[in-house]
Amino acid sequence: MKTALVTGAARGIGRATAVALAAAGVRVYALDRDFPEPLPGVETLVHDLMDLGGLAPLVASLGALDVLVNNAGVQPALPIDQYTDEARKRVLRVNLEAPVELIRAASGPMKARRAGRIINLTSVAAYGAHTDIWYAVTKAGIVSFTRSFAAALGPHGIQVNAVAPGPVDTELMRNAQPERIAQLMKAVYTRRAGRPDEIAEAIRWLALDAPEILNGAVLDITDGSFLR
Amino acid sequence: MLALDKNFSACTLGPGAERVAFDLRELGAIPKLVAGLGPIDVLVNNAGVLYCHAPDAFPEDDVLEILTVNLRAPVALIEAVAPGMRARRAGRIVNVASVAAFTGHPDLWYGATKAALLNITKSYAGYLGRDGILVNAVAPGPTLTAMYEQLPQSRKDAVMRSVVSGRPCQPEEVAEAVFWLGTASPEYVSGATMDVNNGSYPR
Repeated sequence: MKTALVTGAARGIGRATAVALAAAGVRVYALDRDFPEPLPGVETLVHDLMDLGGLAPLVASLGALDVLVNNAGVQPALPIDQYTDEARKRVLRVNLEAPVELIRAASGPMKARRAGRIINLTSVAAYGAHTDIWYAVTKAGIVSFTRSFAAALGPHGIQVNAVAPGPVDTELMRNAQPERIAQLMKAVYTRRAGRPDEIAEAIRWLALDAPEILNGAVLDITDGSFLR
Repeated sequence: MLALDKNFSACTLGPGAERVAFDLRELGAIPKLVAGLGPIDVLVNNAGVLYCHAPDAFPEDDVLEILTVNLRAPVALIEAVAPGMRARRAGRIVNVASVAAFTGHPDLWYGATKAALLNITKSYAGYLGRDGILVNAVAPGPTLTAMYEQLPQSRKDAVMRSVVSGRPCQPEEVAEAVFWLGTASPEYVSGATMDVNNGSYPR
């Protein structure tokens, strides 16, 4: 039985991913800072990713991980002149520093077993102009470290890929700046936002089925909202 | 599963695949061919040719063949299957491009057609997307096929230096990516290019 750790698993894409992996027979550790609704069929871990120092011991306590899904992300949705130090620190810590720390912690045992799959959640925000500058910076950073870790860990049999969704019907999108959402929705073919279970299916495929040669890739799930 | 090729002499496909012998240079015959096949749910534009002549010594006939097989035939096939897919409000099209679309290639025209095929993927994703049809592409790095053997050694060496696994791609691995896009990928994946290049060209 494979084991996966999914961050930001209480809601949205993370929750759908935890459910999809559990349905595929994977033992899932679902991490979030709180779980307002029960998440059956998985083991929940309450941890705030602001606590970087606690991540390595936490990962070590879980035993060998086959799959790490770095899904957790926050979007303050603030124009740059209204950004607070606290908001900037939180978005950088949760979106950028925590996933790198988790990859550092999880990849050691993966290297030893010459197997492991890591999937990072970036966004179309990585590619174009954005109204939340720090959020977009973190998403571009995720693209960068996906490639760096693919190069560093690929020779050890580990796959590191990312998905880049466009608009998805989640709490994060509902709290985003309306002009940003309007910009994305103008272009989509289906005239609807993506569903969390659609992003989860792509993550499930990358985690379990994608060929070994697929490494360092970013899969766009944008329905035409950004063509790269 | 309808398998189209101009020559099946080296084909190892089992009886589950119905063979359609057809030369894609016969562009004008494509509409009639497709009309005779019945409804198509999934179209995989995989066929492609490559020569690796020097750009200043590229025979005109070979240029025309590459443009026809790699570019015009996929468009003709999409045009032929699109009305049926539109009527059923469902269908999936997967175009097989190449990392050469981004990097350039020893065969000038091969690289150019693969770049164009990605552009065509995006255009048709837009033209057909409102009708429930998904159009995506895969862009593999060099893959162990007959075409790989045609590559100059310098190209093969460059591949081995750049991939993170230290090996070329297997055809089955590209097939797995095509299979997912052709059957199971979520509806929100359209107009996308899936890189299957093993970190050799992070894009």
